[in-house]
Amino acid sequence: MQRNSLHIGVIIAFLLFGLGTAKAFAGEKVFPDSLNRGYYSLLLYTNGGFSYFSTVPGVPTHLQTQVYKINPVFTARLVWLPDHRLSIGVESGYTTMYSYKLLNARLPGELSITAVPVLLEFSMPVTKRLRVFAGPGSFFETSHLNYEGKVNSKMVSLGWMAAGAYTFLMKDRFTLSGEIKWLDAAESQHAILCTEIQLMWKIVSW
Amino acid sequence: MKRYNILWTCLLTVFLIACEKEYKAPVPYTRWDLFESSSNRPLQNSTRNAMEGMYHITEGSPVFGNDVALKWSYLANGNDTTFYLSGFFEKDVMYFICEGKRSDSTLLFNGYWRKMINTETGLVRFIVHSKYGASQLTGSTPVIGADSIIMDGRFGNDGQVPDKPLLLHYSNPFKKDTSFQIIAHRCGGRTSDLLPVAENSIGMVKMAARMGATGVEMDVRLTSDAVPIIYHDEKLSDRLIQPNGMLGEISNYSYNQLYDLVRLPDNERIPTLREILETIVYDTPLTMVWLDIKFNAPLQLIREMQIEFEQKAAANHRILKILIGIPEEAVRDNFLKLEDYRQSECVSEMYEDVDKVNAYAWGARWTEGTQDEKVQEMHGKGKKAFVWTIDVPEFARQYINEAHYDALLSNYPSLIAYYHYAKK
Repeated sequence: MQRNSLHIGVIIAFLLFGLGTAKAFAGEKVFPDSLNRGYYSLLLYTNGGFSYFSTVPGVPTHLQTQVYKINPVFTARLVWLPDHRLSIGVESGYTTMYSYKLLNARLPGELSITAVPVLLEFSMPVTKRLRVFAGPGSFFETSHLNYEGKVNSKMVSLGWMAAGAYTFLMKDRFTLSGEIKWLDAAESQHAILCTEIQLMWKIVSW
Repeated sequence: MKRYNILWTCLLTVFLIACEKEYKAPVPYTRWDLFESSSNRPLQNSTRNAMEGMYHITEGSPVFGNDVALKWSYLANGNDTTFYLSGFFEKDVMYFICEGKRSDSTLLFNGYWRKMINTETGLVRFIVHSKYGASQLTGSTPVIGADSIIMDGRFGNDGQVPDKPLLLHYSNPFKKDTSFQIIAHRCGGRTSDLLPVAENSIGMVKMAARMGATGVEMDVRLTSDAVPIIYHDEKLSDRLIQPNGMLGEISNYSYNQLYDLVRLPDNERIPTLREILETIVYDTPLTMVWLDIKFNAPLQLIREMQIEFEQKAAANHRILKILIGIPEEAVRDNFLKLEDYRQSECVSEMYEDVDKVNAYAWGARWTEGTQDEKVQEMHGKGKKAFVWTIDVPEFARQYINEAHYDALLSNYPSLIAYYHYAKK
């Protein structure tokens, strides 16, 4: 119940963020690229920042552990910008979901879970500077256990993402933005909230 | 303004309906001062044996149905043995589990009931008064007939003091059929059915007989260092263990890693096959074990344990048959590589392989129907026919009353027990 409330809370936060920003920018023209008929672009977004593991981390509750929930996250997104507002793209990246050290186990040990998301994304501008992203996909997760030997064991989890990016610098074919992103490996119940700096490069236009 | 009200209402509704309920069915605290009195004495074997049978329910039938099968089981712990009286009902797949004592001229029974179709549970207590059977049951040679035992009971919901009447009248003894096996799936039941112990665990195997089982099926897998353990799924799953970050196939991990770091939902460890068989031989009355082999590797170690624990059971004056389950071709091929496979008793789920592996029994899939001709063919060859996994009451009733199988596998052994003991 706690986890679902958290998810819904994040969704509501995104909605309110979008609505509030839309209201604040009411009257302002939307991102011009999206409305130029017959004009297409291919955009590459590269993101880097930190993630916060936002669901309950699985740890051996019978042992004392030191849990690390904040970890670096890197993602890249390729988006086709058509001549209407809805764009489509794919996103991938690499992050550590969370990790822990065993403090009082029979032997010293640690475990971390890393994830490579592969997501189909839809995107549209809300205002000139605000763009939202959302889509489903899979998370290729690996648990790296180092306790009486090393075991790297994998699972694939279905999931989804939602993000909002605010552009604060535009120059030629580049933009610099801040992005808040929710990555949710729903099947494994692993979710992270990411705060990232985003560099967008308009690779090609035609 | 009105638009914003609608928006907030919608968001609040989404927020509220997104909260999923967590289902639990905890065993209520059963303390009853009258039952705990130090002057009370344990019941004699003759009393317990004479009590077993079918009972009519004359009060409480809207909740419990029309009749109940009462059966005793035990759990040994070294030299200390606890006896349990279980009641198996048809209605709502209910059961109760009580302990019994003698207090002066009356018999007392104290325990709890549970409906398996939902999370309803509560306390139940019975008194058998002297003139309603206690004096007869405590005699040296009890003579029991219809209505000679009246169990004057009370039941309540959850932890509430039992105050609603439940009256049981002895009807008839069970028919003598000791060969039929009620085999409980995953050592007794599934974790998802909110039982007080985890599936495929030591705790579940200890509880299986109380749930009506005479045998258990369990899932055997190998760790990365080739230790046979009992676990159902191919992968570590939050459904079966407490989440601990370890992902992927259980066979990737060594026994020590699993032993130290993994806990089942009831805080038990994942048991080894050896631990489970030790428990079955020395602590329970179970008479059959079906080892569902879920790995593709040599079976020599399993065969050695089969021999070892059947010998231990025999030395302990216990009847115990341990069967190696053959669910697929790969396991069959490994089974046939055993030097003495013809002496190793097994259950083949593949009908066409029964002769080839010299199976003790054929394990039929229930969805194929009662398959009377094939069952008769097995009986003609001196083999048994088992059927798996029947959980639907209508089919359980049909397969018990109309089919000719020698064992039924079920996640609800109490239901199979009811139909078996109620069979005319």
